[in-house]
Amino acid sequence: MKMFKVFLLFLLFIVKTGDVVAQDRIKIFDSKTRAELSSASIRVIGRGAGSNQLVSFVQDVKAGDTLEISHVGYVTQKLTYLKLEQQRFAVLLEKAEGLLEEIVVNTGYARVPRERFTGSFESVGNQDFNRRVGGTILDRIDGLVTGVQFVRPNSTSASGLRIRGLATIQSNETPLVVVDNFVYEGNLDMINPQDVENISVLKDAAAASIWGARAGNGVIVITTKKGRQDGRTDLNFSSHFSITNKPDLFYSKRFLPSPTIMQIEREKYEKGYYLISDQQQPFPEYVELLIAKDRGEISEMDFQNRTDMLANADVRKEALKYLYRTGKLRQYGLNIRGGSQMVDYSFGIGYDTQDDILIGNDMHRFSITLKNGFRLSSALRVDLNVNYTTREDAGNGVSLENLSTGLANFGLSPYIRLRDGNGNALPVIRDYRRAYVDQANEQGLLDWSYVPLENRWLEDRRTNSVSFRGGTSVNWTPLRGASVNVSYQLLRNGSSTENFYEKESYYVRNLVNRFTPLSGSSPIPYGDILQRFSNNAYTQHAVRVQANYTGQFRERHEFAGLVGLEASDGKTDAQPGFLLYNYDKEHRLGENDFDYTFYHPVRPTGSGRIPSPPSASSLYIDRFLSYYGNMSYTMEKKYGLSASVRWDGSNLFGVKANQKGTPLWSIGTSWEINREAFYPFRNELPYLRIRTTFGHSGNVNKSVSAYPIIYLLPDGYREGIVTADLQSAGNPSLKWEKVSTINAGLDWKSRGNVLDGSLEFYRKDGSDLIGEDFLPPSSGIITGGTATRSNLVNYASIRSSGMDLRIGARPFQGRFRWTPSMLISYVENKVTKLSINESLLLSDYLNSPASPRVGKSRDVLYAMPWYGLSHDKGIPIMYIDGEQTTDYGMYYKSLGYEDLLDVGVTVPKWYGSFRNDFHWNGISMSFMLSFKAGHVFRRGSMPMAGEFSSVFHEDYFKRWQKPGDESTTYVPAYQETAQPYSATVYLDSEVLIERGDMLRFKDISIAYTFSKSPKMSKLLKEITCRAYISDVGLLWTSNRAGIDPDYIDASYYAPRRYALGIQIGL
Amino acid sequence: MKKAPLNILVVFSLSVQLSCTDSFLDAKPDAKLAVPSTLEDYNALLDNRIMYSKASITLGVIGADEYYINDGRLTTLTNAYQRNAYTWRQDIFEGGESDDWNQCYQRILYANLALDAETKDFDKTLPLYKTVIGSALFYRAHNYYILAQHFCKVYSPASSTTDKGLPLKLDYDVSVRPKRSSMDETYRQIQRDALRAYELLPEKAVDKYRPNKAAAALLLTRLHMQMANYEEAEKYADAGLKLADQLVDLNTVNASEDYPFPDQPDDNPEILVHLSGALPAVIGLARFNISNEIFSSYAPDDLRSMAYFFRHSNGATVFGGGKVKYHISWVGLATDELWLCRAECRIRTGKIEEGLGDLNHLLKYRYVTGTSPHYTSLPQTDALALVLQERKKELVMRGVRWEDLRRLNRDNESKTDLRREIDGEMYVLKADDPRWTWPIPDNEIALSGIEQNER
Repeated sequence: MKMFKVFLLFLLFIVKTGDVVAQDRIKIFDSKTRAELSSASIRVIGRGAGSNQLVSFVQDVKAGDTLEISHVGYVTQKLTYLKLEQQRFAVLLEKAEGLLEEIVVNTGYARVPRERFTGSFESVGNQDFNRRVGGTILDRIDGLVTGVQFVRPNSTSASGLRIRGLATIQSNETPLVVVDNFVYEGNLDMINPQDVENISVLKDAAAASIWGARAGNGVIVITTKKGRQDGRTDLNFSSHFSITNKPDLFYSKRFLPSPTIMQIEREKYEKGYYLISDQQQPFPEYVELLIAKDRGEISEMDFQNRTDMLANADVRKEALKYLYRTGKLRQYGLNIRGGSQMVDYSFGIGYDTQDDILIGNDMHRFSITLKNGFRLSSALRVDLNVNYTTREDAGNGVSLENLSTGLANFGLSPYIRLRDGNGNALPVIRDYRRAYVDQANEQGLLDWSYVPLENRWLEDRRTNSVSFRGGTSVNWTPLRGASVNVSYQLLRNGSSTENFYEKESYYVRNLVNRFTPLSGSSPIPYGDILQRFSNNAYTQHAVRVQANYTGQFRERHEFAGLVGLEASDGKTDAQPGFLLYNYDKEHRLGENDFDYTFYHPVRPTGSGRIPSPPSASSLYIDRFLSYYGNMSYTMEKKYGLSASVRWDGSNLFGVKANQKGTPLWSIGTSWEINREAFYPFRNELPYLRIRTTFGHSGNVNKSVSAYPIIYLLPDGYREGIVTADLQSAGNPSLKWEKVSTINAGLDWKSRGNVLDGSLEFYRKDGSDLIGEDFLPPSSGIITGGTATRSNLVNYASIRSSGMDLRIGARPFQGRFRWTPSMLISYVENKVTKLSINESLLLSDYLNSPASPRVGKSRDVLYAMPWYGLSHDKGIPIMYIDGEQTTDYGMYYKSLGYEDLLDVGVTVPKWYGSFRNDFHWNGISMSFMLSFKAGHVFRRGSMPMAGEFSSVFHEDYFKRWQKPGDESTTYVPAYQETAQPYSATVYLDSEVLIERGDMLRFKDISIAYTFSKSPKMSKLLKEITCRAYISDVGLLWTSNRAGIDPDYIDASYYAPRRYALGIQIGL
Repeated sequence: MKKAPLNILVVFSLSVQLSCTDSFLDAKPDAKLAVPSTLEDYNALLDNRIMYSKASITLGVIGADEYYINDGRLTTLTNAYQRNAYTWRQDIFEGGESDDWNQCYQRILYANLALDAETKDFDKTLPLYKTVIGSALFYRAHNYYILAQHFCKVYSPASSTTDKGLPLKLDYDVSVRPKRSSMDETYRQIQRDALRAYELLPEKAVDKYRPNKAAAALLLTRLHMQMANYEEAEKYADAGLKLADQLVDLNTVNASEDYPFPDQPDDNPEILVHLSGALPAVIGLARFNISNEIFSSYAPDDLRSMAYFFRHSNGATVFGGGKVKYHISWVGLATDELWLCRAECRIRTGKIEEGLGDLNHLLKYRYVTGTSPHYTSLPQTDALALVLQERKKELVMRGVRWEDLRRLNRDNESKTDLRREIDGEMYVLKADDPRWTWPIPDNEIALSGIEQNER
């Protein structure tokens, strides 16, 4: 009780002191939002020595003084204080263009002014976020934030990102995504980018540890637009249109021209590689032609004509003509924001429609958002928000890869034609031999041919997704600086996929034919089929109760703290779908009353059951419970101290109760050197701050278990029998993964914000990492077995360390503004501890990612040594104990881990961007270059007998042909029967390693803004037109092979996208 | 006055929170997950499909002399171990894993986990308890038995304490890594498990996917025959036949069908327990040819040549006689084997007429009605040769040929060398060659450090 009284006294004390600053008389506002900027500083200049001081009291100011008003992130203004009587006046500060515009960090728990924040974070404000027209949310921050690395180029989900390297080896590496203060478990594609106000990226322990056990990989905090409280109303309408070029299908190196493939197929045919099977496994068209010729079924001339036709065909040209198109994306958005101190609102509607570059794939998204804030009394504010998004994706496209049968003896025929000279769609060989398919009509079966261009419109595959996000937050401020906040959010995501097959579709005809007995009719009715896959619904309730306090006393001490508790309960409920035969779409009638257990004889051979409706139903529950606290203390605005603690618990299954939770903490300090009396560079560098933080966050691996865990499922074949898969044999000593981070940063700003930047160094140590031990199969844990989680142990530690540098400049700040900025990041990681048997299998190191080794990076790439080709045969030379050999099996077995070469890492060590923004009279132009360096990749090639496993590559033409060629090529000679390991000794050798350094012209954007001017109608406030080109092209790369290192083995690189947009503000 | 409400509030909120914490975080993350605790859970483990499919005898089938493949068809095999095992190479795995080895040990893990039920507080007289423990012991015994026939030398009483047996894992803890036991220990363990399974298993299981008492009896018979204890073996064969002796008269089967036997194991009265194997490509129908020696050994009136084989569209004679339709690789336990085992044991122990009686009984069900031979008054060696020949004909492609060859190679009079000719090259596996024992897979040796077989 006594303590409580002391606390109350303490509160009163704070409230009483610390006012009467200059801002009482001179109010400073943001020129656009009219939000008061309470932490601006005012200086008197040109009053001789000792001036240039911070003005605390307006009494210090005399008439005629020139005041310099500055604020972090704003253009500094100078004005002359004219009359003494002018007791109060307002100054409007304009936001500085550039990266530093956000001065408040939203951590998801609190909005913290930058100067109180000791941790490492980056913010992307609305202006920068909208610099890219179209594109996804994550796409729009690519290149804008240091330390954020797109490991998968153009990734639309956070799993393709790394924030400051790696902190885990086998657990989840995905950064945590937070939307409007709650962890977002849905698909980011369900959020309309137009609704986003800003994004913060939390990088170090002090920034992220508030998110606790799941923050080890960094946190991305997305905040959506809110209403405005200044009594004004904004109406914004935007429309964007972008087109994406057709892909460059000729980029792929894994393609050989038709005549070459035909020659290969001919040789294989003559050697008897095409075995006629009861399953009627398909042969390439040219092989069928050869068979027909040999059997005398076609004339020599006919054969020649058809051979010529195939030789002249190129499936890539066909695909570009009939399968791909120029992609189109249209985005429309309407946003109305307004309100007063009492009630504010934001309302948005967005509609996107996209025609993918693959004909048959399209997307529609509709979203509606409403946010309302009510100030019920001076101490009580209630916020409500709802967001509803629906999205439909059609996936009926037939890609180039879809034309391949996927069979080792077949692959993708380069001479496939999709239409004949008369424009008729042509059949393509798919599941069975052409001869078998052709005789279907004679056998009384339905036409059995697969015609991709027709079939594309006879099968309709659609996914419908719905997302609802609604929440409320009550904020009670009983005392100035102290508040209690209770918030709740409901998130519901659902999606279901439906396939509709018209009776004429290949799917239905194939099914009916397969089940048609030798005599009699097929048990499967010849009619449309509708199939609904399981319907996944995710429902999450999240509640947070938090008490905040901020205060200042005796001018010198500022304190902010919060404590809270948070609980979330996420449930994924999957309901089985259905399968209706003989479906009548119009009247919604279908049949599903079949005997699904009976084995029918099927064609071409064997037996099968009628495909049965799905019965899988599942329920997953994810629960988290956390207690947390966070405080920061600043003395004389010079010295800052921050600390946080957090306890996290989750419903990990099969883990002893005391291991369900983990306590985490962080601590940080900052020092604004420029405020020290001894600071010598006040004029040149008025802002200089050092920050250091240390702390722990974690990583949750839900697949661990201390006890044996089984997974129950119905047998499906044996009626009434429930079977169990052993999922884990259990490991009683598992612990949670822990990530500790040290961060040291330096922020600076030159006079008038001409040059600003920050430099940070960090080290991130992941320990107790959970990973797979290599168990002998006699343990029962086997490759491809059910108990895949049994071999999980806390086995390793990893250290990521690096540097992030951000430099921004404003050399011109007048009517013409030029703001170049540069981001450079360096990161590398190293496995520092490994407590399991190191793998002894060479293939574990040659695969990617390689099996971890102490001292090596997680991204390391190993290669086998290369000694060139032999003179007489043109096959790779190898050495066993100094003896030259070409017995690759013996050679491979003679190799140990020590014989492998560490050729580098696959993930760039250096990356960053260089951006230039120009602004003149409402016209702005911006372009960005991005670079990646310090990494390597393994390119593909043509192995010695690749023909026989359908591995093709352009290097086919560089093959060794005759003695002497070994001096000009390293591509081994053709060999009919490949020795064991002959492919790996070449494909995994150092000779195919390329450097990945590259410089890319990321994008260019031009915008023109008509601001409010007398010429414009009174209604209109602003019109902005934008033109934007993304993925302009690769400017330079260090590799000799003409490969874009971001798209090594891809069929094509990201096609260039052009966008136009208009934004009208009323 | 003032003090009390606040304290109550604090205490109340704390207690609410703490009690919530426990139950809130105790929710199962996946409704289908369970820490096995009930007999039904343990039983469900044993009903897993891996327990009766993927039976691990591919190496034995590939290595035995029941089939051949045509020239040019060996090099086109992508799977190294199949290519190498066909010609009994020294190293067959080329660093790859062995599905045979892996699947057996995975089943042993399942069995070991089910056997954890013994440590729990269950009523040991419950039928379900007996079924769970009995089945688990059967599976463990059967899988160790299969492993021993492939990866250990043939059992020899003289050297069984020094010959290398299997690493015997007897609990589910994956961190326990046993070394290789002796042959004696391995066989004693199998015998112990099989005997307890025989005592616990019901006469009739839920269906034939699960073992019953007669199946355990046949396993014990096989084991004792491998150990050359023919009297013991006969005892269990006899016990097995008392439980299940029914045979299917091939005259009642439409032998002209490619796959003439029923769809479901329960519909075939000969089946004791259903086990089927993966079909390696080397013996897949595209390459398969039945051994001419076996195919020509069926008499004209013997219905088996028709019921067990059919002509493939590529002209080859292929096997279709799995006891369950379409199961080309059916390797379960059945009554015909019981009859043959008892016949052999009786002949070997001098009860020649009784033995021939068993054989005659079986053949009645295999020949056109009224034409089956009636063997009587033969010298022991002739009778033995006859029963072994019938064994080869009846149990063709059932995965027992390899283990039969191995045990018969112990006796000088029944020694067999295997020969294969392919692509103009002759390969020979002499009866006393160490390559009758397959090598232990390389990854097992590397990770557990156990001793490799001499080959």
